[in-house]
Amino acid sequence: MEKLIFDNQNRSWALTESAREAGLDPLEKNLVFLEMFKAGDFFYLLVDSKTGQVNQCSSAISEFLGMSKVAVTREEIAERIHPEDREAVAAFVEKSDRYLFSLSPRERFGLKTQYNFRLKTKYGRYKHVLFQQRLYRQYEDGGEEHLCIFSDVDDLKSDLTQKMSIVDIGFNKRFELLQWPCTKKRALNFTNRQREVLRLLSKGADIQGIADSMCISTATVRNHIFHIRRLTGAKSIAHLSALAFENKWIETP
Amino acid sequence: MKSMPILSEAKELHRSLTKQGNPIDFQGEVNLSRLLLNSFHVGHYFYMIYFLPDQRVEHCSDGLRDILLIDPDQFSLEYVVDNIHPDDLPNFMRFEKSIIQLLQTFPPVQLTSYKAVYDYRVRCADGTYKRLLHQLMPLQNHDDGAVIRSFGIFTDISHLKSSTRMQLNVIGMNGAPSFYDVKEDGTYTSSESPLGEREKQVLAAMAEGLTSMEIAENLKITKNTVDSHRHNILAKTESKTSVEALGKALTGHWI
Repeated sequence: MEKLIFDNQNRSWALTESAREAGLDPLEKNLVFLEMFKAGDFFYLLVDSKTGQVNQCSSAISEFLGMSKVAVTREEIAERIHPEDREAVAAFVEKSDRYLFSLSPRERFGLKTQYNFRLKTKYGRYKHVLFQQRLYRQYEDGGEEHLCIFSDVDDLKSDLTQKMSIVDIGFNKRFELLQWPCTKKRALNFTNRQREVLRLLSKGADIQGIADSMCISTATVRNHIFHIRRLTGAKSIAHLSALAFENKWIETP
Repeated sequence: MKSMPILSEAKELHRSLTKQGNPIDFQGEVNLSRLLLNSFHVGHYFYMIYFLPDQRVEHCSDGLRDILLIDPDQFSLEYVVDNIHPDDLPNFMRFEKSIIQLLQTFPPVQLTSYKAVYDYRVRCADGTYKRLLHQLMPLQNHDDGAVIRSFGIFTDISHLKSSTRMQLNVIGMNGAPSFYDVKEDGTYTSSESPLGEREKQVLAAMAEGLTSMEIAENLKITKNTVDSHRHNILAKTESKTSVEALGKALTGHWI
């Protein structure tokens, strides 16, 4: 595998000579390698910081968001952010911009900003995503290109808290400089019986099946479901089971 | 010393995987483009190369110092077993078994296309626990499928995951299918969905709580067509209820 080197003159990642001759893009070229390390699927964009124009986008975006990599705009992605998460994202952007632009470009090369939110994916479901951004290239006229990475952390993220960190990535040392946790969102307190109903529901049991396993009547099961739905605002039993899955209401048995 | 029986069990499991044979000469050289990885990765990480015939960590990256607060040469399988959170140990052992069972069903040439992924809490030198995402993949194997060297990547995901739920996924790389929620009895949910594009849209809409009528309006089809999609979804996923079908679709990352 070719090694990428940090080109001080161009303030960007550069390829070793052989890879440059082969005309390989440093990002695409290392995707195989990233495949091993990644914690979940991801796509990335290279964005011009002044105009907001997307200069390059990985093809994984079509699997992830169902968008075409050639026509994607920053606004289109922003519209996919869960309405409840937008306020925090706006605060994160403001706070990280204020901090980062107090630094020189040289210092900023060694940092990345990361925060999480829910993003509406291809089939309309929201998934927890970790967004990471860093300075990728600086032009001679002072313009900048930013690398933006969206990683699927839906399997890992189990609550609705949102956090922003600025991480030092320049060298081996990595530490978090800023933490900005949002107020913790309302936690749902299910009773043990309600939890059991939820667990059986997600395993595919019907009302009669739940009644049999819990040794209660179907009317009691319906009553439990009525209360769970009122508590969660679920519109249907299918919706309820999707919410239970997404919010990890059911822990390991 | 208390964990020795478990440890020997783990070693036995590894030994059954390596079977017989001499280790093939392997250049343990992993050229990491650190800047790129540091940009993409979701948390602090370290990686190691494990030599199975000797049960030995051949190489461990420096990143370990910042995470577990120990020296790389102190890291071993014993260290993990000794310092894993007691609540997470039974699952950890169960996963080790399940991984080996599942790997043995794959053709040897395809082994290196898969990685096993799960997480657990490990105690650091300062006594605090960190949740590590453990990704383990065969790096080199004999023609008969016996793994010689494996590559392990450990990522600190304490900042992401607060739930204690543990799940074993075997992820296919470069287009290979994935196996989600691998259970002790060998069952799993495959990433290969039996559903068509339209059926996925219908199922996703059901997950949002839409009624058949609303789904019909959104997708500009008749309610009868929606109902026939729903019928096919149950048949194709071999589910009794739509909630069961939805559970499979969410677990297998189909929608």
